[in-house]
Amino acid sequence: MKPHWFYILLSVSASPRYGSAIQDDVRALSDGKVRLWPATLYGSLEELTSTGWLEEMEGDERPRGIAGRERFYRLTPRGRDALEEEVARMEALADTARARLGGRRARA
Amino acid sequence: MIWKRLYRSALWLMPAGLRRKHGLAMEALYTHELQRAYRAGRLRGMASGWLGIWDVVRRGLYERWRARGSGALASTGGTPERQSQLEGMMDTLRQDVAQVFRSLVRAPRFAAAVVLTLALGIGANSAIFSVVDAVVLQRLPFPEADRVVHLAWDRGGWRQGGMSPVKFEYWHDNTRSFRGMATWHSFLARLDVGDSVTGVPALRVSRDFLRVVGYEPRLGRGFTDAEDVPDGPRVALISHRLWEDRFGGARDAVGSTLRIDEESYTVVGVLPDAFAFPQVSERIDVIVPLGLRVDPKDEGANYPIIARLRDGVDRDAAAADVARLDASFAEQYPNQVYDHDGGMKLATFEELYVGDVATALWVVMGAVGLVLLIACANVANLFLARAVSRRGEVALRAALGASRGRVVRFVLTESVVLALLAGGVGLLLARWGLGALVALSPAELPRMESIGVDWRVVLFTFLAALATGLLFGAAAALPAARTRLSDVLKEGARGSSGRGRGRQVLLAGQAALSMVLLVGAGLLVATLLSLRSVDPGFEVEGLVAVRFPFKPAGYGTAHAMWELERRMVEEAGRAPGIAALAGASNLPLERGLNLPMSIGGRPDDFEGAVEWRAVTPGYFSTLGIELLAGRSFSEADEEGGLPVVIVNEAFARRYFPDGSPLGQRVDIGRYRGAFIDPSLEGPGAEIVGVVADVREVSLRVEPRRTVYQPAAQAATMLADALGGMPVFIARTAPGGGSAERVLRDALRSLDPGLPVPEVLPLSGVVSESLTRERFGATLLSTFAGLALVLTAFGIYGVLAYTVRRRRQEIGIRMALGAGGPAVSRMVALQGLVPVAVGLMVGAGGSLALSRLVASMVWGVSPTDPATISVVAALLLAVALAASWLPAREAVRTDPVRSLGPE
Repeated sequence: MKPHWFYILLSVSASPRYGSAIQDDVRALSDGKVRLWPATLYGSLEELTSTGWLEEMEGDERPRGIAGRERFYRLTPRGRDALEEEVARMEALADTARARLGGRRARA
Repeated sequence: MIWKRLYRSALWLMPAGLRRKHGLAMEALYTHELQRAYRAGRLRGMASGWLGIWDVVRRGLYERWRARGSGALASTGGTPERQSQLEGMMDTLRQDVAQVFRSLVRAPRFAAAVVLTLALGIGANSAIFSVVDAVVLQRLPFPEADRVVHLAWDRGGWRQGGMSPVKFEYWHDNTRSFRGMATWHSFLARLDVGDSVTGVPALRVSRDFLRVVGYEPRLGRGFTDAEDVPDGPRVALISHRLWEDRFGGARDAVGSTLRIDEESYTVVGVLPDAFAFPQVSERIDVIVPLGLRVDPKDEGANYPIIARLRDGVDRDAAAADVARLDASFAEQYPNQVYDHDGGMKLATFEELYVGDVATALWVVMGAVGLVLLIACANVANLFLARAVSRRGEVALRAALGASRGRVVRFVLTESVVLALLAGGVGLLLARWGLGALVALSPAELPRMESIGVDWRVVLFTFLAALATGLLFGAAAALPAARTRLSDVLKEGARGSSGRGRGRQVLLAGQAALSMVLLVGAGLLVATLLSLRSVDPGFEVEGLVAVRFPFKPAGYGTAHAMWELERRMVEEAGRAPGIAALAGASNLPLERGLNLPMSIGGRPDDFEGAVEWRAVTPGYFSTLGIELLAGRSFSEADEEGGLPVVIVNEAFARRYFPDGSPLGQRVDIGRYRGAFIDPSLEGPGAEIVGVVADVREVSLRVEPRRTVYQPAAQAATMLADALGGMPVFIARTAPGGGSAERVLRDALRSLDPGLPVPEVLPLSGVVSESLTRERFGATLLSTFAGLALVLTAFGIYGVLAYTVRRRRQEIGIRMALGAGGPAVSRMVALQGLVPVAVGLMVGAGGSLALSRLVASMVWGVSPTDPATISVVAALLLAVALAASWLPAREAVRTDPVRSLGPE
């Protein structure tokens, strides 16, 4: 999975968010390392929506109290599966890596 | 904010659906990011600006690629194989670009030289393209603009856009091909709002006008047929801008009143924001009905015609329909048609309103194209030099298994990346340059207001950069692809000395292109100089021109205006600080009226129009125009007195070659036995004096035959056609303070209600009349200078490179006893020979292209041998100077060191 997809999915997994809120959140999640520029952000949101991992919220489901015409996105069940699968893959990879590094250190 | 505009332009790269859905949000987010970055520092802000744009470009290309690759499946994101194939390609591209950046960072001077050279070339092209685009290429700002046509009257040699009222009415009423046909008359409307008075651009239009331009009022209604009649109701349409400024965008603006030219008008409608009328100005604030008075005797060609084709009618059919009426019109109104007239024709906006400016602009566009080619040649040389020095690396890579395609792709990526970077810098340069360019351009340049960097310019720059990059990439990649490791090893690490032919050809080409540009610039500069040295026939020093910005209040009639003129000359002329003051119907070198005339006692002796000027008695003495015979005007030449005129020398020479014109009579405005306007009828005027010739029309044009009439006797003549606003010429007395203040004070004491006059030195008027020439000369000189500098760098670069590569050979020669002069000659000739060849080719090219600039050149032949020789000498001198440094370096070669190990 592309890193910025991962961050976007992770960001909306907590609660539905709109474009610039996702951008801020991703920046925070990544310790300021991942900066989603507008075209990439909105292009990816579209792409993830068409893949069925995200969905745009309809009028009355939108969180109340937030003014404006922002489009809110939330994770679909399929999106959650994909995210969890990716996290599992990363965990497995991290385990393998840790084992190797630990092993080498042990041999040294 | 330029970033926002750039970003908005770049957004067009995104697929339409995405852009429509998220465009605004993206723009807002970008602006937000940018502000945040700018708070952290200017440099960081600029970096963010570019990164954001780069993001759009990259993503836009990716999205389009994705949409195309998946075809009908676009919504499902495409098949997995396709996606992975695409990702593979994007990966390779990303790797290549990253590698290019790494290699460029290792060679920063090379990268900077290439980017800067190309940026100058591309920036110049973008700047000129923005002008050409706005002035020549842009379609008219009307809905379905290709259905809008103009009509022009064929006068034999030229096409006249203005029509007499009867011509307009005849074609309006009798054609069948048009949905509407309209005419207009532009004027500066005096607008009174509260205490403030402003002049705003305005139109009087005939009834079909809105239907022809294709706009509906945004609010209210257009004019009804009943409103478009002479002395009809006073109703007005106002622009969107005026609506917002004056009425705060309130709906009840419709129905309220507006003071226009001291009359109350009812606002009946508001024009849409998009409304513009480049035939007159991009900005029109007020439109009122024309109420054209149709008099078959009125031949004044003051009404242009614009029309919209009826659905299903094409241009050819419309042209035939228009021409069909020529014969019947000529029969019905013989006074309206001259012998050599070709009748009514369809015409385009470009023909009537852009005209020779287009030629000048295309010449300049060609010139900057040549500059870019020269810049390209320089960069190609840099690339070739680098390619040679990197042959080892390339060959090694090939030997290690890099495919030939991969090597070519890498070089291409490198050149395209550099060219795109240069395009970005060039766009900034263009933006800076545009301000200067617009300030320099002639006032009559149509649609000047819309010149700017828009998405079309950005697209042009991008394409120009891409093409440039691919061009060099190809030039540099092909030799690289042919490189074989064995060849390189055989030649040794130092490479060969005999492979400079490509570079020499490029040098010759550069010299030839520079030559062509410099000759063009030289011709235009010579033109400007010869025009400057033309004696206009009147004094300029110490004189100022004075005029009112709009019609002063309370002087509505022609007669009242004349009273003001008389009092100004009499009273203000005596005010302290003013040495002389004279009034005239218009300034010299500005367009005046010309009228037919016949000479008393000579039957049917019409010989073309004469220039006509109405002047006060002090006119000739104030301007220093010499009286050659007879007397000047005096206060005694009053209205109702014996009509008199003064003619100029050209007039006397033409009509009275053998005798004195004094005492003869002329009928001004009389043509084939009838007067063209009833106000001109009279017993004929006696010629009482002859004055020296003045260049009345333009410095380029020989003095025309001119008739001067006392302003007192011309007061009510042609009152409508003249618009009745005289200008004044004043000489201020020394020590009286600034001319502006002296005149303002004098006029205020005359009538405190007079508007503050515009005061312009007469030298400014003369200089103003040369703006078009100066525009061409300055632009072409700037670009020719740029070409010269680039060529000098090119020569220097090639020779310096040659010296470095041939150090061994030079060392051997010197060790064998070759003297310094012989060595430097050898090196210098490497540069001078191609330049000399280039000069000859360039001279030939200049002669071949002389036809193009012929219409812009005056007082010097377009194939002027002196200009060509001077330019050739200049180029040779520059080439010598550019060769000198490398040649000196060659002489300093130390044989021992050059032969030693590297």
